[in-house]
Amino acid sequence: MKTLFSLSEVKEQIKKGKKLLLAGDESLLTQLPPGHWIAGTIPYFMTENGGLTTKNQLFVTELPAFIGDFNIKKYSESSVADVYNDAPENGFSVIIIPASSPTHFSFALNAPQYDNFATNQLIGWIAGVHVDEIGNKKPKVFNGEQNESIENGAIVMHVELPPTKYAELNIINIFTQGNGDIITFPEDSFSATEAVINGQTKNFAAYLTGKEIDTRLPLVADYCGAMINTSFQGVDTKESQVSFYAPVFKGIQYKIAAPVGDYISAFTRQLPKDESTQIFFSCNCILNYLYSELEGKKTGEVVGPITFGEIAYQLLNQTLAYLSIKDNQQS
Amino acid sequence: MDLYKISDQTWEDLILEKINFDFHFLALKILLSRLRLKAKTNSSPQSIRGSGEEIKNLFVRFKNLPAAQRDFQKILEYKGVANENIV
Repeated sequence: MKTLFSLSEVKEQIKKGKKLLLAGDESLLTQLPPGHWIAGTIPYFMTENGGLTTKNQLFVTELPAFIGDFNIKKYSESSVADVYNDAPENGFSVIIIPASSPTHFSFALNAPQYDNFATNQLIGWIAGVHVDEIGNKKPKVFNGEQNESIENGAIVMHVELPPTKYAELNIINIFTQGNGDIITFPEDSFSATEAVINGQTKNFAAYLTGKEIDTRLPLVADYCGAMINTSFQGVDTKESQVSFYAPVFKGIQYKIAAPVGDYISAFTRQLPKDESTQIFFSCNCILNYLYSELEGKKTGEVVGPITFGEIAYQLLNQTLAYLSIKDNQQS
Repeated sequence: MDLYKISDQTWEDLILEKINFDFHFLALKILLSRLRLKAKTNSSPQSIRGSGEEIKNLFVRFKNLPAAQRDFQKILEYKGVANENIV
């Protein structure tokens, strides 16, 4: 199925009243007419033909015709705490947040404490920019109905499904905990100076460099069998500071991930059989794209934007998040 | 999925890690991990009861999902779990 479209093609789809989830470069998104769409900036995609970097086309996910009511809502850094309360009883919500915005950091740190956390199918992604433009250009998210873009906040499409359907959210994470040290942190934070390694407090930057840890491998926590990653952003030995792309949480036990040979093989092994035809939306991490050199390579039949963070109930790193829409056998 | 077949004590035992399974349902894995973490810093009966309610409500909310149904069945089949006062 075609996933990348030209600006004029997307304009036509919007004019026809289609309900769309879009991803692409800001220069294209700002030219779109008002309509039933939301979007985030990113120039990286996993397409039906493989990984691709482009600023000239938009990635389009069209909502199926059978959906029930839907609404698009803008949230602030504080009001995003209501995102689970606003979700439909049977359906799903797609959230897009600009990278490095206060809302990004707030959601990452606080989502698990939100009212009704994880009681609705919340999938989404962190909008970004081309890696060469990091620091020079700000990621944005768009509310098509209001024809507005924002650099801080979240845009969410809440979608209701008919009783004959249900939405199922899941992840594919090729990383597992390695057999190394148990690492915990003294506070919830996007950075750490110290960590407790097997019960002993140590300078974390010195620990990582001393042990020659490959920081392309994430920290992995075991959430009752779900492997949840936190990726390294940088290690500054002078400042004794280690930064992350998602927060580490006090009390959670982490280990450095076991090395992975070939991403595509590991990914394909984890892809549930027959699931790909039911996947409505998915997104994968820019770090997987870059570290595993996914440009030009296919990850099975799974397509979607390549993002600066994935959301499956909470913020994730180096993970593919996907939402399937399935027939309800009981209705 | 008859939630009343599982006693309040069982939901609390899940929080207190007295009952453990390989769960299927992603929301359950993530929420349960969070609530177990919370229980380590606040193990008051009131807090544990509240967390048990949260897990129960998750199953109420997702009663039609096969993954949730599979996990519910695992808990139900765990020896001694059935709420015999109600069933």
